[in-house]
Amino acid sequence: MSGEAVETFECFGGRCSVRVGGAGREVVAAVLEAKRRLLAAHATLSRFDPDSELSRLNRDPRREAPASPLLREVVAAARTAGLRSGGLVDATLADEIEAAGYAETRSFEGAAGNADAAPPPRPAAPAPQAGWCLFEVDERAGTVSRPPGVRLDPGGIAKGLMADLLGESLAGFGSYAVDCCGDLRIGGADGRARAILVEDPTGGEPLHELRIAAGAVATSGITRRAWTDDDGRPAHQILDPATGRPAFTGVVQATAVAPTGLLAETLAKSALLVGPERAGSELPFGGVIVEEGGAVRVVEPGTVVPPEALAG
Amino acid sequence: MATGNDPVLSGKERPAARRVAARTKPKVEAEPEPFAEVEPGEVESAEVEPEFEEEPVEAETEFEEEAVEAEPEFVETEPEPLVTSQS
Repeated sequence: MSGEAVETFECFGGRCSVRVGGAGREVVAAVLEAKRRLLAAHATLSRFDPDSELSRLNRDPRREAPASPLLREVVAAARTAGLRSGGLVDATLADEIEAAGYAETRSFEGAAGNADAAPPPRPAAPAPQAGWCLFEVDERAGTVSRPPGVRLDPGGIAKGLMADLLGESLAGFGSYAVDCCGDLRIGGADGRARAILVEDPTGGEPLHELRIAAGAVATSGITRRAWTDDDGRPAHQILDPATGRPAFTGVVQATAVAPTGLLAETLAKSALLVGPERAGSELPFGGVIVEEGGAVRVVEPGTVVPPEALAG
Repeated sequence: MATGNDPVLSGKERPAARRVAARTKPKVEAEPEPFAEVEPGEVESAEVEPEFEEEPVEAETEFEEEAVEAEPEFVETEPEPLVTSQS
């Protein structure tokens, strides 16, 4: 048997898929196991389900609470993303996203607000009192600690992390691709490059084609999960940590290539949040930036000089 | 002496016993003969080595043929492009 076994299903509030290539019935079993793990992760990490482990942790009045291995990994990933982005990727803005109008699972069909009513673009900034760095993981005790009331909303971080975890388990197959609602992790023993199309945020033809044999791609944007808030203002799910409000930076979509899904997710969100002037510097492994007004910039891998190289 | 209740000679078990005997028979014949009839090690290795060489040659040919056949199929099953979108 050749080709790939594919399973596509609803998960994480969107569509996920798992593809595994190779020979034998193990391929089919691997796809089904990956699907099972993704659905289990969704049940564990959904902030819309009051019975999920994440919701129970967010309600727990204790400073230190028991947490499953997956939840501990998510907390650790949230810290990593916060550190890597200098606090721009903040997974503790649960109160703020609910206040902005995204308190429950919802449809975004036709909900986008009038872009002309958006505030003038400006770069986002870290929160003055960030919550993500208050989380700690104790692997020996199997617990997570944080000040009670600081809530976790991992969002895209969980998707990138799950793509990585599944990718690691599928690395021995000829090829694999894990798609967590647009966050992709690909690879496999065959080492063949795969085409990745970058979606147009306005719904048009794909903007660009990447070819990657192993690694990850993630995209963050403000046009897909967008709505009008109670005050009639356009809103979306990418928040400026400094204000707690939806960020309008002049970048409407950023796609990042990286070795891992977690890093790709972090870099894509960072590129969107820093604004068009600095977005390219957030994409050291390459990517695509779509600016307000429709300008598209392709950042080739290796064209970005790492900040540490400029430090002297 | 075996009886009708003997599990080896009973009607149900007899075919299985034959299969076991058939599987083990070649090994029993192949291993002792060179040592029992031919003492010098040189003669023994001279008989064994050609057989060993012939097998890899056949196996390699088969493997190459399979690879040649598999290549086009592999190209034909080029995975369809994936799409990265706002997550």
